[in-house]
Amino acid sequence: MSELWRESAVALAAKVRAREVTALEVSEAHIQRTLEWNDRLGAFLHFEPEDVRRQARRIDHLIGSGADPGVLAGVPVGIKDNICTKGVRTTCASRILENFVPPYDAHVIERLREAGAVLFGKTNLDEFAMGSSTENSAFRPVRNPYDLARTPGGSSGGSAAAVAAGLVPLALGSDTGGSIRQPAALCGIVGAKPTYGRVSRFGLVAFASSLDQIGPLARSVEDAALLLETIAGHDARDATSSVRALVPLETATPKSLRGLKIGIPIEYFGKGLADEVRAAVGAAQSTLQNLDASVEQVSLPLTEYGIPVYYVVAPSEASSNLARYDGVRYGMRAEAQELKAMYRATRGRGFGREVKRRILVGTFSLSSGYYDAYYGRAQKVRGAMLRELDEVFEQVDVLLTPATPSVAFRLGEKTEDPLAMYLNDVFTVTANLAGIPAVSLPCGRSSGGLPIGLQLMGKRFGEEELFQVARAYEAASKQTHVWPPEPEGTQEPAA
Amino acid sequence: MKVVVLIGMEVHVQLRTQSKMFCRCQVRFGAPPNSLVCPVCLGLPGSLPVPNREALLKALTAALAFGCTPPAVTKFDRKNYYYPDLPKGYQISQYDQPLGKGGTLEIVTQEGVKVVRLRRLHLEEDTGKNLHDEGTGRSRVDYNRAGTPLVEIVSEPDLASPEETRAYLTALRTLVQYLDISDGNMQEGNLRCEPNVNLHIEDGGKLIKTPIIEIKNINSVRNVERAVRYEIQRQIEEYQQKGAAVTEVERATRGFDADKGTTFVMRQKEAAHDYRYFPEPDIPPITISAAWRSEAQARVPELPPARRRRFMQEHDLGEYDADVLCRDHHTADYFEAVVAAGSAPKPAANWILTEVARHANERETTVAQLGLASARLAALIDLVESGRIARTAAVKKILPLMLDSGEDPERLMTTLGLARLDDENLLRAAAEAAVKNNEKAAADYRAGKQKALSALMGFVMRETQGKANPDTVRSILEELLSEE
Repeated sequence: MSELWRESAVALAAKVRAREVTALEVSEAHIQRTLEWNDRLGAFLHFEPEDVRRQARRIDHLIGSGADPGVLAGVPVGIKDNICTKGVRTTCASRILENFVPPYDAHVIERLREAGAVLFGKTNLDEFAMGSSTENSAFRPVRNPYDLARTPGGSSGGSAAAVAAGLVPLALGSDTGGSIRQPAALCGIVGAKPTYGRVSRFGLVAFASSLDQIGPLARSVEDAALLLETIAGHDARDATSSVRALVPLETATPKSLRGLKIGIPIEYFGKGLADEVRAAVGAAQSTLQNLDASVEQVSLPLTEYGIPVYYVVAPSEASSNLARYDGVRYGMRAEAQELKAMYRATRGRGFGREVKRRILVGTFSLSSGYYDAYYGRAQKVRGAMLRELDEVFEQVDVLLTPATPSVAFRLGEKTEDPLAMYLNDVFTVTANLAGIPAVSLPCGRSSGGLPIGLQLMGKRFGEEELFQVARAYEAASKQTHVWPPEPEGTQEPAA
Repeated sequence: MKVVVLIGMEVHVQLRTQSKMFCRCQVRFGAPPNSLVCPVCLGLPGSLPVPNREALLKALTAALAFGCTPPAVTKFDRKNYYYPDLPKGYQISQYDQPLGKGGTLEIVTQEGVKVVRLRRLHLEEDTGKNLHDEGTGRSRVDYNRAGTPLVEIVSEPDLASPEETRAYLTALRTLVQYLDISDGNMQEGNLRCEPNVNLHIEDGGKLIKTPIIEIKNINSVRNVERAVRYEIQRQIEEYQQKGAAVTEVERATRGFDADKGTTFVMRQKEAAHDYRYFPEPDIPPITISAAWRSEAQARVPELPPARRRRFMQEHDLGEYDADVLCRDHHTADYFEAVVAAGSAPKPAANWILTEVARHANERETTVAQLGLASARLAALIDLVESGRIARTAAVKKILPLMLDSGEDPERLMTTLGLARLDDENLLRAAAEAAVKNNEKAAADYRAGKQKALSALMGFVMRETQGKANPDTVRSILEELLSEE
């Protein structure tokens, strides 16, 4: 079998463009890899090999005709299944949208098509991106390629597992409170949440509109940068999309970080942080210091309010965003004799437990008499957190933190305890609340061989600097991707 | 028992824009169901609203015209509720930073001018339309209207009668037409109103406040007056039956039945609606710049109250006539054109508001669209005013012919032989005949009964087919009767 699936996106695109390999060969390698792995991972919800081949042939045809096939020529990209793809089911891993076929492409999908990417399939997620383990998928959970009994994280768990295991070199995720960075960390890959407004949300099925951003998952910083550059940019169909252009992300790796000030927020290193994670992030700090970056401790006392604020703001917006799934126009409809009964039956059967829980929490937070105490107050604290970060960013250029409190946990371990599950996002929600860019990237392995991730947070629209630091760290730390162990024979993993 | 009537109005005005409030779908009435829709106005997953700049500008123009104070920054909010005609499960509206707060609207009734205070003006999106098929019991939804820009204007409860309510609606419609922001057509639903009616009844030293009733399903200016009149009477009767018990309900919604002229219960006890308003996260707050404000201000023309006052001053018109002329800016323009063509203003106003308006009504059109050239009307008025034709002849014979043929009135008058008879000899002969044939009337007049002259006048007019100049006839008759 072809080993093309081991290649980076940058290398694949270069080879396809140089006619060293065909797009079809690239796709075929990934198809075979996916056929081999997907059943045990559950990474893809929708995967149509023939459709993939058709797209690849079109790219090859384009190259044959002498046209520029684009910067992602022939590169397979996994698409989180909450991003609309014209003519291809977009389910959000929810029963209520099980048969929903969007009549249009999301902005990011248009960009990918223009860049010559092959839309490889739709990846699994927690229902409507609500969760941190991909166990809330209405269809099946995703498994961590490094330990099939464990979670890949979530909600972009399908995208993270697919990239980590080589099913695709690149995938799109969405990040509302850590949904790209946390699974990237737990799967040992790179995941970036861009500045709010950097990437158009048009076509991203909304979870929490003021927090959602689409971003890349990849096995290297360079690949992640390539994907981000492809999808970033203004889109008139999203009123929150910024007109600020993304500065092309530096492709050369900086040898020194002299002059760069890195802040270590002490609040991210308190109780509840696993020792192995603490150690790995500490080592990363040393690596960066060895690159002549200056490191100083900073304090963000409001960090502890991140989770409570997030779990008021996000469900509030979600309760409203998900009101449209009423069985009237599209998606699932439960038959009933009258309107209210139809609403109740449709939403009662169509949504899973976690989604319902958040709709309830959000509805409560926005209710008259409670608004001021919950949603109103949460927004005030959010504003204060933003000011606090602004002040810290006057002292330092980037913040270095762990991406998650621990390595990947076991499937089922936290499903009965929503609060424990929510605490997985403790290090990631701040970047969403503040709209700043953040990257998580691998910084080591636990004694059990599970990936550990660090997080770098930057200033608003500071992607360029952030990616430079990430590139420098990646090179200096000599972190290379570790492929998951090959399955033994045809033996199926324990369910 | 003393009754004070309090009426507040909520009016929705559909803005006339090329495209919808948050997407590029066309705004048009009467298109096949669901032919003017897209992922955004259907609320498909992943779609996002982008505000229509022209709609914002039109709404801002309205806010300035009403004298509202626009905020430095405005924003949209979500109003959450479930209904099949509401695609997203929420309506994008404005809650605490509307485009306009305060402001006033001047209304004119037979009793004079009144200034009605406004509470607020905000911009929102319209819903689709549910169509219930009584036969099959099925409902269908047409989303063509969903997302049409709407301005909602809420008044203080300053209106005190059905007439004032009607005048308010008329004045508001006039204003939006002057501003050219809406067709203001109630039949097509681009102007919709919901009066809120209640009474403060002072009875035996106690003050009873009847429930505030919101009346829906009103589709014409005339019906707003009928509905309010009925509702006031109904509330008085309800109080007379139930006494203070009427206050048990705080608010309710009733529908207007245009056939019966009555209102009926729609929602008895108003369930406390909780719309869970919160700022629309998909649309950042919008700064109303000085440039924007002046762009909107430049679109505000001379408004009906100012024009009315100018007509009263420049043309010496009465308040009511001036108001009626100004209610339709095309009519007001037409009036000014007739005056500019040389007609005296008062007769011009009179002709337009009576004779010309009657023909317009008969032909179901407007004065301005009747096709009567302003110069021709001015010429006709001049013929009458200068005594060259009898008014009756001008109204009954010439005007209809002018409308049909567009002919010059003087030529019509000559062709038809309708010019006034002023021939002294001819009229004297007729007057002599009148005296001869009406001996009793002649005798009565001579005996001092001035009124008897009219019988003699009538005789002469009949003899001359109404063409005789009455002034000449009168002086001849007076001369004849004083001779003997």
